[in-house]
Amino acid sequence: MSMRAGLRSPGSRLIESLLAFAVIAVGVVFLRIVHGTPPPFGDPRDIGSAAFFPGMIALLVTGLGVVLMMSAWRPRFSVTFESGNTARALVAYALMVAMVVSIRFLGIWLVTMLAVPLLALCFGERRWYVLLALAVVPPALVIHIFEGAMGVYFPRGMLL
Amino acid sequence: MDLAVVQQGLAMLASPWTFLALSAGLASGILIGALPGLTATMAVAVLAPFTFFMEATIGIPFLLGIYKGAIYGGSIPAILVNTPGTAAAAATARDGYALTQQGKSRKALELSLYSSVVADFMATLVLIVVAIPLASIAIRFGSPEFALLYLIALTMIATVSGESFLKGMIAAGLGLLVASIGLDPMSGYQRFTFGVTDLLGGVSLIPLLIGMFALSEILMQLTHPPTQASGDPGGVEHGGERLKWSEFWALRPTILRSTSLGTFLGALPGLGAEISCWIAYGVARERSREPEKFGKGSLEGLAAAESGNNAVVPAALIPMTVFGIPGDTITAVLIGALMAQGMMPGPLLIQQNPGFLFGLFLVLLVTNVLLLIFGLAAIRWLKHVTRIPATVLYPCVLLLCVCGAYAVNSSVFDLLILVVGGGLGYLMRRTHFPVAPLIIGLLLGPGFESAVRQSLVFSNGSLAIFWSRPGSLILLILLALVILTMAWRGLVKAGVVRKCSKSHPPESNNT
Repeated sequence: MSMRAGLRSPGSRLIESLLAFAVIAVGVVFLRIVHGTPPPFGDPRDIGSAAFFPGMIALLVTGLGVVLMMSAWRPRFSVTFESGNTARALVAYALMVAMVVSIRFLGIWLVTMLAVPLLALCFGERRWYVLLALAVVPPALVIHIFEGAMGVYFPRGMLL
Repeated sequence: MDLAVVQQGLAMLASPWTFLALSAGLASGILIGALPGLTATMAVAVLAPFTFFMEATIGIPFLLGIYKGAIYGGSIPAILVNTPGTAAAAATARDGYALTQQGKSRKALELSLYSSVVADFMATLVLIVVAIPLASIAIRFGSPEFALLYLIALTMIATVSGESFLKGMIAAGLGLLVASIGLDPMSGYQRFTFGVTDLLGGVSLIPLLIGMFALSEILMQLTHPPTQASGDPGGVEHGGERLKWSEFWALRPTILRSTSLGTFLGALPGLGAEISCWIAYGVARERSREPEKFGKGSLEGLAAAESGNNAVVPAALIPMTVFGIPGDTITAVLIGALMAQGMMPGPLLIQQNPGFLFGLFLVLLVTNVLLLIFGLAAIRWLKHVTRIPATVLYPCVLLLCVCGAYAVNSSVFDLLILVVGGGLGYLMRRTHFPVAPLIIGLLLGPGFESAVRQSLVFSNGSLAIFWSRPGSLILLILLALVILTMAWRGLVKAGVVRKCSKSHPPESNNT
């Protein structure tokens, strides 16, 4: 079993603090909506109000976020985050986002025929014939199964 | 039992389509489970959209087949190339691969299959015996009991599914907040939709699940590319002698004990197969006459790990069918699939669709026979599957994710939920936030909210309703016990209390 390199304090402490900050931010956003909206929705103290339960949970999440922040700065903080090839994952994630955003305009065929081999490239595939096969075979097979057998029709985009 | 219920159940079992769906699910599950990096949860999540176009009597057996097949399939690469197909097979690799190195891979694969089938069969019997009487109790539950039950489930899941209880609670809280997006179930007011009409019906569950389990797995594989398996499949001779009946018979106390443990742990919310396999393995080593052989090719160790993880599968269906509470992340996806079919898991399912449920129990029993047949075929043919490169596998998974998420509502907005879920799942996994509490919070959110608000409306805002009824008082005591256990764990972890544990901890909570 390989040992992975770890990111220790103060890097871990900073990441944990940022996470805690994000959690607090989410809680505060929900609390603001709950308290900032006029009744009948925005009355978190009224049991019958739609704001009651989310208000309670948002308060809990905000409180737990504060505890997480405090625990990140205690002297015995020992959380270690594994380092890895984050850049490659981020490139792949950007590809996924681009794929989803452009599917309405470019259509399922073009998007999947580009995204599938591009993801293979991210994984380190460099053989052109494998990339070509990946661009054609899986999209054709999967899209035909969904459209032919299940009656799900995907966006065709501007090109088709 | 009503004769009509029996007839309906038998008709479901006798349907060739159910049989075909079950077989297809089982075969796909074994195949996917055998591919290192593809988890059982991911398999069920990615293939769940296929079932929306089938009747529930066909679609749900298909998903159950995938679930059972994937948990078993994970043992094949664990034994052959020392790379567990799923986290649930991590303990199997220890003795399984040691046996392969000794030229006894066939014996190891056969023992793994037979232990899995026996454990699964016995746990299914427990499910059948326990589910109906428990459901008859659950039907009498009111809002306060359900509110406490959901709270117990969320607390347990937050406690056991990650390294930190605090992060587990935050994840569960975030899941509950996400669940509150959309129309309020009681008053019908819009909540947290930010003007987006696609959010009126709430966040689509299946696209989010696919994103959190499948897309995040792709990103994790890119972050930590799979290293060369520590075992060299080319250099080890596969085959060797077969498992003797006397050897298997001698293992019955280990299998029985591990099955009981797996069934008990599986029935508790949050404890999945990946934890129970290690506990069963640890207990088997403690009770063994030859503990020194564990990790070096012990048949006892292999049988314990495999029966421990496979017994979880039917047991996890107990809280799902009885209370509508997912036993693990895979049953959370199953609940999503059942809800998409218009069924509400829990006592109402038993009350309203008893024939379907009885049919499902019969299907679970038949799955064991099929698992034996498919497993024997897999032992012979599946060793080549473990060599499919990640460069081909994961792009195909991405394609299935996108098509599957879109297919749920034919909505491009669901694809946005998919990528947001993928990003969130990746971030959580990288920063040690457990995913399971968030998913289960999201699933239980609407029910939990309704139960809490209804209880407080009945009592005019008095919290006494949560301890003034006998049922709720028992559940409140149970909740206190769960919190005390959690506190004890925290003290042990902090080193304040010493505890001797010989079992190896699980590496991941992602089955």
